[in-house]
Amino acid sequence: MKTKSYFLLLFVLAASLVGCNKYDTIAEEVIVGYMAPQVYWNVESSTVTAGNPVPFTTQYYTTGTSPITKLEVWYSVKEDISKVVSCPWTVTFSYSYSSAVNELKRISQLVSTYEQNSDYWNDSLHAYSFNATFPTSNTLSSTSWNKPTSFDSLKMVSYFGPDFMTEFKDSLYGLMQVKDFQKMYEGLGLVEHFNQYCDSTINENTGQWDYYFPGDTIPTAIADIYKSIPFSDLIYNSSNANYDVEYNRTYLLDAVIKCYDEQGTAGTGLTKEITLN
Amino acid sequence: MKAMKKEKLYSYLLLLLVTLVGVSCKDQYPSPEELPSSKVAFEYSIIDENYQLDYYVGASIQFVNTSYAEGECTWDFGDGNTGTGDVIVHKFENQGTYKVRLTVAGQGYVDQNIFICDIKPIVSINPMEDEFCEVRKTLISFSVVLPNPEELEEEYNWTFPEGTLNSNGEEITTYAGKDPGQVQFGNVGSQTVTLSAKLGGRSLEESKLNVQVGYNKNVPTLYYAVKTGNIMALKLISDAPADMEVMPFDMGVKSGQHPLNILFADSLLYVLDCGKQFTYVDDADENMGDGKIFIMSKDGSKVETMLSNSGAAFNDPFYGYIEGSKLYFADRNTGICTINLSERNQTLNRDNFPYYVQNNHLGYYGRGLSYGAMNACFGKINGIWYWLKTYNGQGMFRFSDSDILTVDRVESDPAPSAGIALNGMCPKSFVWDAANQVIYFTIYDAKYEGLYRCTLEQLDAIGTNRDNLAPYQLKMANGKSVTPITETGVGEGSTGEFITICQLALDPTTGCVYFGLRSGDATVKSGLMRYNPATGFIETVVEGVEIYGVAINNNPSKLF
Repeated sequence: MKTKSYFLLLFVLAASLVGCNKYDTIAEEVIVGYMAPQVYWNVESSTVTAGNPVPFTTQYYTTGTSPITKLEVWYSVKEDISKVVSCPWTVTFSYSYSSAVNELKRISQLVSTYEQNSDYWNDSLHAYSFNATFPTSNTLSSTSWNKPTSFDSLKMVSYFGPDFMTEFKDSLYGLMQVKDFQKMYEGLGLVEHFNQYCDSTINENTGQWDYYFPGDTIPTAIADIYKSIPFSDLIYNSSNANYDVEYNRTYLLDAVIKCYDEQGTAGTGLTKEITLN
Repeated sequence: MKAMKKEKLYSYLLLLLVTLVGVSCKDQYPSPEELPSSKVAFEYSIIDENYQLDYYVGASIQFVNTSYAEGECTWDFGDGNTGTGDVIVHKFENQGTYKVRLTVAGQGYVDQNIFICDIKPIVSINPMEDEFCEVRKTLISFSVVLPNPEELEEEYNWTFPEGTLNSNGEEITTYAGKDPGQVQFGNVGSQTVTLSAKLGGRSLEESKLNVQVGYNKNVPTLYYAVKTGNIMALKLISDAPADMEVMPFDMGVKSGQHPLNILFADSLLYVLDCGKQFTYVDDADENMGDGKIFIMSKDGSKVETMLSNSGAAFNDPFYGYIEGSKLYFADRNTGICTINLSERNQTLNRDNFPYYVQNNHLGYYGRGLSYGAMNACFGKINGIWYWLKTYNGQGMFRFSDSDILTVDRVESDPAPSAGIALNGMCPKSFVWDAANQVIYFTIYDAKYEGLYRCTLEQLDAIGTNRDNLAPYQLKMANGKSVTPITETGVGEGSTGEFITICQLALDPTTGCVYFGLRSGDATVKSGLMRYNPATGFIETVVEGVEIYGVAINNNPSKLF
């Protein structure tokens, strides 16, 4: 008998453990509330020119008793920025800076409202249906600056920040070895006889001369030349006659459609991602 | 004795449970307002009558507290300004992204971004008399809208591309004023008109308008996918006047991550993007796939998703071929499956998209073709499949539909009679010129890299000896062949799956074969190239671009 009481108490305590509002097993297992309208939609194109309207079709219905009153389109704005800058002159290593950032720029906003109309009923679909559009902003057009044939330092600062060029140059210098300096300086026509700055020994395995800086430190003359090289030359790709810099900024909309009934209960369609160009 | 022990045990258990109940529903975290809280929330919207979507500098933005938590609301707008109250209106004076913080006293806070845009002129083309803008014919004019609620002084400066003429037929490169009048363009392709404006003496962000200018005759259109850029188009014009430049069209549609193949059928361009990861990866959970096939209308005005993959990365769509109403697409290294051209928004899984053919369902398996044999381009010539493989079995593996086994190949299954061409070599792409009965193909074996052209008989005669390739190698006018990058860390990819020349496209009207070259030879520039049978040489078409797939719309048109 005593054992039974213990088990009973045990059960009550266990139930109370899971019954607080953090672990509400009932709320986790069943839907509580009104039946929301069902809504499905399809946007005509997943890429749209910024400022142009986005055409879509929608179908919706309700199994609840409260009639549908309106639909709304909401969207948030995300920004995708990808940047790549490379130095094509290095031989002993590949030097490239790249970054890709995806950031929410604006929270979801109501952009369009569509009042319910009984004429939208479609017998064959057993649902309401209509075609419409929602607007986009001209301000969200994409920007690209890829492998330009002429260098624009204002764009470089605007897209990469004021310190980027100096940091890139300093960081590259710390990694460069004899062969890298040689390719860069000869490629840019900065020195005629690079080997004058080097000592050399014969490599018995290859039979070729191996060049190195005296004392394994970068000679002052080499360092001074490096200081005089403009950033644009560091990223100039002589093979392609362009600059190894890429900047792409694109805005994306995460759009949803909401269908409301008279009680204000809303059903939500799937999120559509729309790229603005 | 035993019962007593049991009773003791229950007592301890009871004590433990009581303790647990005591602590189970109370967070042990501090709740100062310095911490973010899910109970704090807010919304914002523009309450001005106009430009409600634009979030211009100076717009009246209403912030509304929608928190579940109750308490005094303090706002920090991230621009040095603050405020209090459940509802507050704020104007930002400068463009940028601001982190706005709402703090509810004693409850916590929430941060949300708001992106403020500078005012800039909005330029559009007025309706034209012609259906589209035709080179050296169509006169177009522009409309400009500049939000200017404070009625500040406006200044406009236009920049037109080379070859633009005004309505008097005079060249115009710049124009100061709001309305430059009618202009016509002297070159084909995307012509960029730039408008710089000042408002009250302050320079605004410039606006660019991309005008798609068509040719004055119907010609085919080439499409190509640029690395980290957009799908581009180029009119294939052979008779343009010497002073007319034929420039590419920017279609305004992103190429995707690695669109190794693009295919044109009817009025649509199918882009096979194998996603971010296209080389080997240990995808043990089979969830690294992000490839897709998307469809762009020929004028770039519409983009739809045909198929997407979120399963294994190796299942992403890499290469494709269209026959009739079906698109065949190959994964990284196992097989080829099909999808009807009319399908949209499909999700790739093997139940819905079983292999049409796979490595071990061919008689070659174990006889040249091994597990995981790396795929490259494939297609049909005279009813025979040519399936190019670059690793774990290399060559052009040829077979007919009837050679495809329904179960795994066993020893008694014969190898297809069509045989392997270029056996042991690394062929990446090919195209068949039916009119001239020649096959063009690329290989990237070291020292033999390049583009080749021969008949099918000659292809067979090459056998396994690379030296037999020499008579068929195509070269530039300076005697150079085209050598794609196959150096790890320099070019994209790795052994067996370098990008190299990943697709060839034939213009049947001229017999020219187009391709993208990532040049590994410092003396040959990368870009869009073609072999021109009229000159007998490989020529540069567009210099300095890095290209994946290429495709041609053979249906001639002035624009698209």
